[in-house]
Amino acid sequence: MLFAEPLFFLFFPTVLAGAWWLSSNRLRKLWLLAASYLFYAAWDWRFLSLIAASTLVDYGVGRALERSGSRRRRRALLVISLVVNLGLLGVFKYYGFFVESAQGLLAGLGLGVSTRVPEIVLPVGISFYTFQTLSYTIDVYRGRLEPVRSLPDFALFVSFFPQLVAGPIVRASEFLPQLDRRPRWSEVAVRRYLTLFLVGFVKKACLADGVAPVVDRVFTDPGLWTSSAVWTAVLLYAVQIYCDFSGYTDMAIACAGLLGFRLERNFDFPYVARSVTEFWRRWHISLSGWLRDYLYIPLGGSRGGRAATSRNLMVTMLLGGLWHGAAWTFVVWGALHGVALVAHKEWRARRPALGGRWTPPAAVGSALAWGLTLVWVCLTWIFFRARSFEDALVLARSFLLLPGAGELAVDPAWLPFVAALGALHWVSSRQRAEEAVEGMPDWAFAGAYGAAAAVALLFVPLRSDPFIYFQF
Amino acid sequence: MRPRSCLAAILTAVVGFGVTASSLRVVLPEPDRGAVSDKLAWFEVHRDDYDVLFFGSSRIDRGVIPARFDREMARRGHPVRSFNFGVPGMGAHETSALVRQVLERKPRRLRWVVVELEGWSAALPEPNRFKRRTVAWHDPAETASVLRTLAMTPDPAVESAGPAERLELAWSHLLHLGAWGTGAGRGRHWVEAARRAERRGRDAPDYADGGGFEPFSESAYGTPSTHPFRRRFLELVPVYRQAVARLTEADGPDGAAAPLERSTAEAFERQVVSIRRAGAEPVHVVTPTVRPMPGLGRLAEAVGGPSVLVFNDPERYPELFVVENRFDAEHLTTRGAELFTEHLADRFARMIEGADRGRPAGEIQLAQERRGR
Repeated sequence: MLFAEPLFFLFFPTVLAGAWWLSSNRLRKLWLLAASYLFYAAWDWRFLSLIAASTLVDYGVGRALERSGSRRRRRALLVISLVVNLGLLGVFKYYGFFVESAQGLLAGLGLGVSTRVPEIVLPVGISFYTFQTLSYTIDVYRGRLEPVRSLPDFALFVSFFPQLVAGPIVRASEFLPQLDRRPRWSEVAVRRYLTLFLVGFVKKACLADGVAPVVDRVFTDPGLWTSSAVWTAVLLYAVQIYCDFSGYTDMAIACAGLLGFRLERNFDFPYVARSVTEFWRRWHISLSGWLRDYLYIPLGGSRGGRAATSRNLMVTMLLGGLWHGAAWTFVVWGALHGVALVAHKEWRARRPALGGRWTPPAAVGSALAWGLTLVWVCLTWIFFRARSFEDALVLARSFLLLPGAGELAVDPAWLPFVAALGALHWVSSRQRAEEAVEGMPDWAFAGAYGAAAAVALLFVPLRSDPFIYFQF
Repeated sequence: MRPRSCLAAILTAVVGFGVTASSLRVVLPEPDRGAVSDKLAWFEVHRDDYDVLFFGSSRIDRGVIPARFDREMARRGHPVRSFNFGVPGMGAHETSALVRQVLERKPRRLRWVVVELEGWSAALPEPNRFKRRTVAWHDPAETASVLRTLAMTPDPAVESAGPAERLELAWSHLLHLGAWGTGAGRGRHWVEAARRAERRGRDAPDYADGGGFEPFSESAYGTPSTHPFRRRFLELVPVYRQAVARLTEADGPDGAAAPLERSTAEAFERQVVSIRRAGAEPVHVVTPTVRPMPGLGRLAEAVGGPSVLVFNDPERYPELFVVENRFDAEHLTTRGAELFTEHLADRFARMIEGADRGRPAGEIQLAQERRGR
């Protein structure tokens, strides 16, 4: 079940009504836990066992850490949690990747070993809930968080359905205190969350799904297209991935908000960023924060000089890339961002030494920085989306206007469409839609909301591929 | 927000949604449904030109030649002008919805509506779900009809489905109704149509000569054929001949002896009533197909002769089943279409002359009821 699917529009109102109808906080939490497991089971009930296993292990480790005074024993408990969680992630997400990579390496060394790699289904959301449970155990280990006593509370933290499938990655320290008391309906910013849900729906169902066919065509046969077609497709992919991901998390934050939970913002208009560093402060904020707190800083962060900082950044971004998917293209994507982050850090460090000679007027400098950042981010999206490394190189060549591009064109009308969306992105970064509706009377908001929902549905793409003739 | 004001807000939102969706349905153009839209657009302009309309699948589209039909009818002393509304892939429910859409345009001269007869199936093949054509026939009347079909029938396409699959299928039909009611996807079409208006005008087909008949292209007859159905047919001619032989077995599992489904009879009856209500006379045709038509022989018997003209009879119409006149197992060549059209005109003329008049639709007896007596 996904948020933009019709079934969700039966599921969520039922869960919402139940959650607010139950006056006991304990029953409310159990209701939400049951709903969360049902939500996940709608995809594949068998993988509930993975969530349950992860929940039980980390709950148990947390309780054991509370009772344990020995440093050695605490460390062993942490290792158990890391091995179980990363082990599950490794098996289900990376097993095939590592085996194939090892085979490739051995073949390169002339030690060809052919092993059949089993196809393992990737459990939805495993990357997200693994990081959540890990953050809990690490925080308890570090003494920054009291371990949770109630197993159902912890299970709800791990499986809370609005953010289970695609984030945001919620910290236990932010979520668990919200379970202590039942909120009041009057405390809920209903209008704000309803608007956020609709904005998310439009981004996901209308925009991301709407541009997907054009992107798919170009990325399926990258060698056939002109450079301008590749540019259009890459820009459209930038639209698609942002609208898809941020739209989904907008809906997640809105659903959680309507249920009385506050989740932190996960995207903050990343395409207005004027450096890659700023981009990562605006893109998938919960992941950036997680990587910073549980990887980059433990590696040493920026404490060990320039070279060590650069190394730590690169390691963080390489592993961050791998987190997104089990393929070398994701690793390259992470590496390119790592290089850009290191370069930006160097630029900032060395710029004063240049004595201002290189400083253009503020507006020009801003525009230049924004343009360079956007082009770099788009170039990296090629590696994120391409089906293979070879395809990515073909597309990157066309994107960089190098010779060898194909001859097929994409409808040029997509470019003004992208430009209009870019302008909307910039305007929205200054005035958020959910803030703009605050002053409206209730009846006007309700009527306008209904009308806006009707208009949004008009732009949900129906299938436009040819009608299949089913006679034979 | 208090419960009462919450309820008021929900009601206001629902009204806002309903008013906007209904208004947009009226204002925005119909989504492009390919050949269906082309033929409807032609008919919109020439709605008062035709006495006879043919509806059905590609077996009608590729099998009935209106110009020849008109000539044969005139030769028999019944001057008429006909139009072929057949469209490839059109099933019984989609046909029913299209017939109603055409009749809503109140064609003044229309006297006969000829509909290809085949089983009313509730199946909704995955590749065709949420396509414009599929959404377009899910108006409230046809969705209700298909849900009745689903509830009542051991439809061969879905009879193996358990309760969960049937529920999923019913839910899917309801979603299509939702898409129909809310105009989902129409905005995108409207943008596309606005951008391509000029080109669309140039590309609109002209049905003045062909009357809606669409023969296979010349390349489809070539050696090797460009058409996959034709290539497959030529490879499997013996299999086709076996299928023809099965048609002559009077008590075969798919033949006339199979019981008529109540849902089929009811859907048929609804179609008959709606056509009569529009002031036209329904005529049903079983085309020279070799596909199983479970129980439809019973339907013909229940209705009586002239309302259902049956051509899937290799003994009576052998020339329609010889390999030379078949494009493939289901479709006729142009020569086959000429022969079929002549037979159709002949039966049609005799029906008009009252040589073989059957009972009116209101007296259709359902197979189960007859068996119960």
